[in-house]
Amino acid sequence: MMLREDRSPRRYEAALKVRGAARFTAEIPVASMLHAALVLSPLPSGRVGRIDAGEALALPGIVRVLTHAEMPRIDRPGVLIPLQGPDVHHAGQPVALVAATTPAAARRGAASVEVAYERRPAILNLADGEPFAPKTAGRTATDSRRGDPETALRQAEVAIGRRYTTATNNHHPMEPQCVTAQWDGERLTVLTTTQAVFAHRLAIAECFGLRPEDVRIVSHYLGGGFGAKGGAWFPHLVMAIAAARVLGRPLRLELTREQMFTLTGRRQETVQDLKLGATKDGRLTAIVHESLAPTSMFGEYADALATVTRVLHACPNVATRQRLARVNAPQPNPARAPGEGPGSFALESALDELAYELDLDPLELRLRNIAAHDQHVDLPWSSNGLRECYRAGAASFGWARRPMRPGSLREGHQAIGIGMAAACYPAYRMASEAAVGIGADGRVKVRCGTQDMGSGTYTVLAQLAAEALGMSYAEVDVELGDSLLPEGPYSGGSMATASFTPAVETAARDLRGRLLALASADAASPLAGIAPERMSIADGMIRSGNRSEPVSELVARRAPQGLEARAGAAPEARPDFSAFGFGAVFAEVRVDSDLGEVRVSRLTAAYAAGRILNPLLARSQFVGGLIWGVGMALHEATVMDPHLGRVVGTSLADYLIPVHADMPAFDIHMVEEDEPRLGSGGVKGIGMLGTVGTAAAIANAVFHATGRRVRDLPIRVEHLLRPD
Amino acid sequence: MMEAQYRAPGSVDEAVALMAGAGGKGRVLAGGTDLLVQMRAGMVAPGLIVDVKRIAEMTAISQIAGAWRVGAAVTGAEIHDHAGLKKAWPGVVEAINLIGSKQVQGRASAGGNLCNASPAADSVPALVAAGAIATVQGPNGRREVPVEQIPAGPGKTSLKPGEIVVSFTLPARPAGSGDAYLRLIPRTEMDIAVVGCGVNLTMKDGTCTAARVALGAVAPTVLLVEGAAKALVGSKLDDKAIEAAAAACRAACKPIDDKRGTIVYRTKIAGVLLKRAVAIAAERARSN
Repeated sequence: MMLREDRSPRRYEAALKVRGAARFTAEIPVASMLHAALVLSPLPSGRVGRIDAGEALALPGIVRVLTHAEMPRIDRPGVLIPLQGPDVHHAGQPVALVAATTPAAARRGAASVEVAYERRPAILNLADGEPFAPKTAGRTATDSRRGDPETALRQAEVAIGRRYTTATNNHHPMEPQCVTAQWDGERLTVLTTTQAVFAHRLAIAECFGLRPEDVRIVSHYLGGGFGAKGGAWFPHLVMAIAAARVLGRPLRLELTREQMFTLTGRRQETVQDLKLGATKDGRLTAIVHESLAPTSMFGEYADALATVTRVLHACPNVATRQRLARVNAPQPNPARAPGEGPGSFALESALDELAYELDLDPLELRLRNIAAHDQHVDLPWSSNGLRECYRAGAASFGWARRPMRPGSLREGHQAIGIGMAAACYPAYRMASEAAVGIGADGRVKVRCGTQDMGSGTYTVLAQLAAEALGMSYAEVDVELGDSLLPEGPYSGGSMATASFTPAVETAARDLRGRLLALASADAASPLAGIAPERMSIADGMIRSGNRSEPVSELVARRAPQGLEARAGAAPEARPDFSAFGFGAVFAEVRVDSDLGEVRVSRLTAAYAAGRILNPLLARSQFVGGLIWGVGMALHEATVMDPHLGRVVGTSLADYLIPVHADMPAFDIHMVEEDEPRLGSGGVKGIGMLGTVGTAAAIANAVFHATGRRVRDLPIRVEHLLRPD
Repeated sequence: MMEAQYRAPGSVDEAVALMAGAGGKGRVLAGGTDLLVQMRAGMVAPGLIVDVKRIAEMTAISQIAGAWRVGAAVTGAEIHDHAGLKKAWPGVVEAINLIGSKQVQGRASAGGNLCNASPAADSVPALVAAGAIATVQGPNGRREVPVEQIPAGPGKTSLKPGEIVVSFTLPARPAGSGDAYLRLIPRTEMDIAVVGCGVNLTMKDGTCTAARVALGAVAPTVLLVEGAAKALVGSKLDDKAIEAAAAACRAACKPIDDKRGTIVYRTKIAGVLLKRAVAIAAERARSN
């Protein structure tokens, strides 16, 4: 796709960020605020006994040390709000909060608090937990079944069964979570790093018995989130707000990088068993996907590991089953492509293994199993661009030149491998409101209480309004990240843009209609008397034939206070179609034969994800998603000490993420899709899709390079070590 | 936690006096890329920080009778930009430049890398292979110490209380000399070596006349592998000699299993890196 300049304007807030003028949460001071530091439990299971804060309180700058004894009780089942009781459920759990006049004093105070613990038995490993069925898996049903997969497997001409595992990952946005809470009687202002301005407003109001309108949440700029600033951040957000109330002063809590390993969620590790049955000519006849993952002692969360398995490939007999086991570890939460990332690693690795069993090209195997409709819910697709993704990706990558036999391609020390995988992600939506207004100065303002994680929400809000109104992008101002604005969507599940797009477009079109009607009815306008439907707006001018008037002049004359239109949009309750974004990922890796070192040298990906609002930002989102896939495949693992239950290595020097030098050449294709049936204005969501399938494509390429099938992520050099 | 005092003396004598007066609570600050991180992590709590970046002798590079003297606090970035040093000791320069990121290179020094005493320090195997001599000054004056004698174990050095590494001296190079350093990390940059290998060779008429080989991250301290050097000296760097040197490297390894690498893996890789580093050093020796 061509990057058209007008569809990819400069990022709305680029200049502000470059100049340092965009102020992030931790950069906004509040008068007379205190700073919090946390005292953390070293034990994974136990009970807090005596807490001796005497030494800490004697230090300069320390105002107060709060423990569960001093904190107000908050009734919120299913989440562990710290400092609510003496029980310790995971290592790193806060057991006291030190409030001080400076961050350094608070940290020093926290280091001086002495806590006695009664140690209790702990379950530290997934294998030691008792499996149980969670109520849901993400936003999907826990288990599923269609046809008779067991019989189909027994009768299959070719069948394979393999176990795949993926590691615990942490989100690690660049910007640490931060909250500054300020109480004013029964009113509360919360500056915080949130992906969910409105959801957090409601939940916080419930926790403290407040009216939602008395709670204001502000989050203007985010340095990433990836799921770690939604529900994952909520318990500690609430703790800090409660502490501010007890202290009677504004309080800021900014997490440390170390705390981001334990206090803000994690992608849960998985053990997945995949069984596939197929005919000799490569038609899938059975899929059984069973998985086990850990959850915490106090909460229940299961990634939707089987979403992709249920819908991506055509298969009449499919069963999926998810189980959890409780361990004394931090609460897992959604991380980018929550279940679809690890789940697709298992499925798309197994497809590759099946292709080799059948001696069939892995892409050809997938082409023979394109699903004509969504068999899981038995509904037609809104659209399914998977075949076009396969075609466009394979052609650009040069897949046709790939030899089938593993270990065929070499260059010096390096074995070269090529692999691919398919991807899909549900097109989610939620209700959203938005307002579009215009002032007497002719400037347009979009107001929507969603937030920008750094992915370009400011920009697309401005673009949507400019385009629907006929004004130029440069004339649009955007307000977001504040619960005083019209209620906007959560940033997660790739749904924010799909949710606010129809609201913004409806409001902008409504405003446009009102402007044209004003012009038509205004005797002072050159357009007086012309029917609105015969007028157009472009570049800030209303035109009809050879008559025209600048929008700003009309507004200044007829509505000097400005005009604003407000609209809402909500998803269909029971749509008669199934909506997914699809993709195909092609990876080339180079494996050093003597060292086992794996480097991804090329990634080509093609995506069919509905209407693309801004090709440049969309490309960045896909690249970001792919980088997460590279991390999952080759680097990222939160290692837990199996005896102590603590995270081993709590810094970005220990938790390896891909760096710039690890980046392959990215080749991204976006397949245009017409999606008239989607109420989202055709938008399907793109943030997650890039992370689906990518780890499998890389692992499949490693197999093609080396002949070694690695079923455990991340792939380590030891996996590929050849005996001397 | 306690308050740390900060001093930035202008001479080595002053710095030594401050360190000696600190009663074991003093820490030298060069780039701070280890010390400040360790302080923030609560791993160390020095009572006195002696910043040595204002000491001319410790921040200068000079050449004396063919030998290079490099101040212990010279940054990686300055070393990177020093054409003369790079030509004489490309392996040493490359090793120092592998420490951290571009930003870290603007601060970090080889002296700090050595005194931090990580078994995986990148610059140390290259300096040991080069036969670098450290000039150390303490309350009892100056002494010259081969670099390999400074590390004493993870986080420990053989420096006596109050002693400071002032500079390194890289010896004058005979014709036909070349050095190289290679390391393995799981990603492409900015990581701690799983194995590091420094090789320094002198070649005459196709025969290796002198060799030094050092390994990092395979034992509590950087190892000078004399068996590997012996296997190379006198040979024409034929496959048999190189395989014998690789075997000597594997035999010298006493690594640990950790999440960065297993014993089996580190041991195997030591041999692979030796072979590749010898090839690079030999190529450089031929063109010098």
